[in-house]
Amino acid sequence: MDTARVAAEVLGMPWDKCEIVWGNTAHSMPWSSQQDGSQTTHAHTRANYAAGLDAKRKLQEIAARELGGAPEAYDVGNGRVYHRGNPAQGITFAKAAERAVALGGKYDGHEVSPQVNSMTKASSQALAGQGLMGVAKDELPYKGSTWSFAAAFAEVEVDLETGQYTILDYLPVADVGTVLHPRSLGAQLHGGGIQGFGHARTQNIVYDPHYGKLVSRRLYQNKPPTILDMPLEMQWDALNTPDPQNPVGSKGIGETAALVGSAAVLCAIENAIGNRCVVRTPVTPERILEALETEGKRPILLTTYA
Amino acid sequence: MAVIRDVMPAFELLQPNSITEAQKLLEHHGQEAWVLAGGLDSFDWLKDRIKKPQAVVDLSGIEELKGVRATGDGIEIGAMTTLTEVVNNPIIRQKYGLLAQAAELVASPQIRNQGTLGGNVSQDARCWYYRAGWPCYRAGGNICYADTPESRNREHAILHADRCVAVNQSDSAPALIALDAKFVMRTPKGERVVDAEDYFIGPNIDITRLHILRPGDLLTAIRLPSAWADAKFYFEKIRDRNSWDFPLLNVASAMMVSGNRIERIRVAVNAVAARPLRLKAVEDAVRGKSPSATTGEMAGALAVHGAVPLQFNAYKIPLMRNLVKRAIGGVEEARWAS
Repeated sequence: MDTARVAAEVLGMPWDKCEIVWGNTAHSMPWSSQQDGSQTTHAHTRANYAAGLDAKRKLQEIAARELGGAPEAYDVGNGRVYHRGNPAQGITFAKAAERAVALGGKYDGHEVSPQVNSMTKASSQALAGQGLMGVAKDELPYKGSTWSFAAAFAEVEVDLETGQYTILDYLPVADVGTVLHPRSLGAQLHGGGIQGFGHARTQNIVYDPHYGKLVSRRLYQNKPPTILDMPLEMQWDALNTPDPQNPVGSKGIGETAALVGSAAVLCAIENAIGNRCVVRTPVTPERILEALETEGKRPILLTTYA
Repeated sequence: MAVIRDVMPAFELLQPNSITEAQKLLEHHGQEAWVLAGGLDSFDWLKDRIKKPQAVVDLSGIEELKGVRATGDGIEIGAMTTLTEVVNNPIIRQKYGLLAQAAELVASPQIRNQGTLGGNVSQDARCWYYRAGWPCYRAGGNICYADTPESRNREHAILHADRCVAVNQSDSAPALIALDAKFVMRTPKGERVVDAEDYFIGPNIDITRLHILRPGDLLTAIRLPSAWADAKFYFEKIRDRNSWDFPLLNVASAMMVSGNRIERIRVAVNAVAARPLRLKAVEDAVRGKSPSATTGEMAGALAVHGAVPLQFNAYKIPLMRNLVKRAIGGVEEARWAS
């Protein structure tokens, strides 16, 4: 939802006056791009930026038609399109929308760029005639590829007699470009990190190799982490360095958060017991105990399964 | 008729409201009856459609099976008392804290709210081959899928295996053995009381059950004698995660110490064999000695004597050794090497 803030910002619209209608074919709303590959923020902010610019351009053109002058002489803000030199000279978005419906064509969605996706085209045709419509294909410049990065620090305490360990502290630091929404980013960094703790510690899909059957069928056998497995406090931070491939400088976080959580815990265990027991996950108490008991001499891969 | 696979098999639901009535129903239906306590174990079996009893005897309406009562010598806990009630009971917390500790480590709060003490001690094996409905020894077949060179058996037995290598994973059971609890049953022949350690059986006695209850028998209460009230207790459970997990191993001890000498002691472990094991040899060896790390180390080494690991559970040997050591000598803080 936060990626729609970009369209609101382009249109100078206060966020609390915005209504987000999610992609829903029952309401003739188009599909969005897939939310995967940790690219959602990157792709959706660009798409919202492109559609926002298209709406802004149409508002400027309508204002120029109504009030004279060049479209570029007009700006948008607070639900109005107004003359840059004389802000009192302008019309409301509502009035502009009424004009868009009267004008038809590209203004109310009857005509769209041939570049847009056929699903978007079908959607704009179904919704045409109800107001001013911003609809565009993301043709913003793009060079190379966009990746997010994170580094994380974990502190663990290992019980040398039982192999049980506690994660005491966790701090992920992300390079995700401009931070779009700090609370949401923090939740993703910690939520993903917790998923990563599960990968490192307890989650295991176990097959019997002779019969080829899954034996860890249940969530008490293939164990996601619980709240009691979490550090009492976790911090996070982000570099907040704008990414040049995105109009608002933002990148995704997604999978990066989970991977770094898993890796940090494994590194901490290795550092704590100085041993190779972490070559396979999950690192359960028995792996630590066996590694300690055999001082790393026993081939761990033969005594544990993953 | 179409086979419905996504619901429980049909059964007759019987809801008695007295112990006498329940025992009669169990006797009447014999092998076809299924005892339903909190349902945590039962519904796994029923919803997987692996066990298909004709009659389910639901004990939840029997008030006389619930609650904690004082007796002439200690307390009596009804078999249908929930684990949460056991954990929160002031007398148990104050005098028999070992049981409160053990019960509080069972599964998750939701499961403890619904699960009962009688159900916890009577739960079936969690061997994942057996639980998935594989036709193994315990299920009446003639093979153990968990004991082959390739079997995935990290949770299985290191002691007293006999064809079947499943373990008992009750957390309350070793605590009750350490407290010298008595299990009260109602059988077709009347009331029967046994020592806690005698309630549990291994595959050499009966490979299809983890306890002595036979068709027609009902566990009604567990009595804690005052002899072990206020003893020095130790309980520890090792598991992969800190909630909603069965033990990889657990240990319980009750000690009476006088002048730095162990006067009386009871020690039990679970999840190493098909029944929770009382470690009598350890008790005999440490009696009269100081409850120190040295005594603990000797006890730990003695405890694992005769243990035989499977392919993937050798870790249980040092784990049992270390837990028994702690149960006697306590936990030593690690020292920095430099």
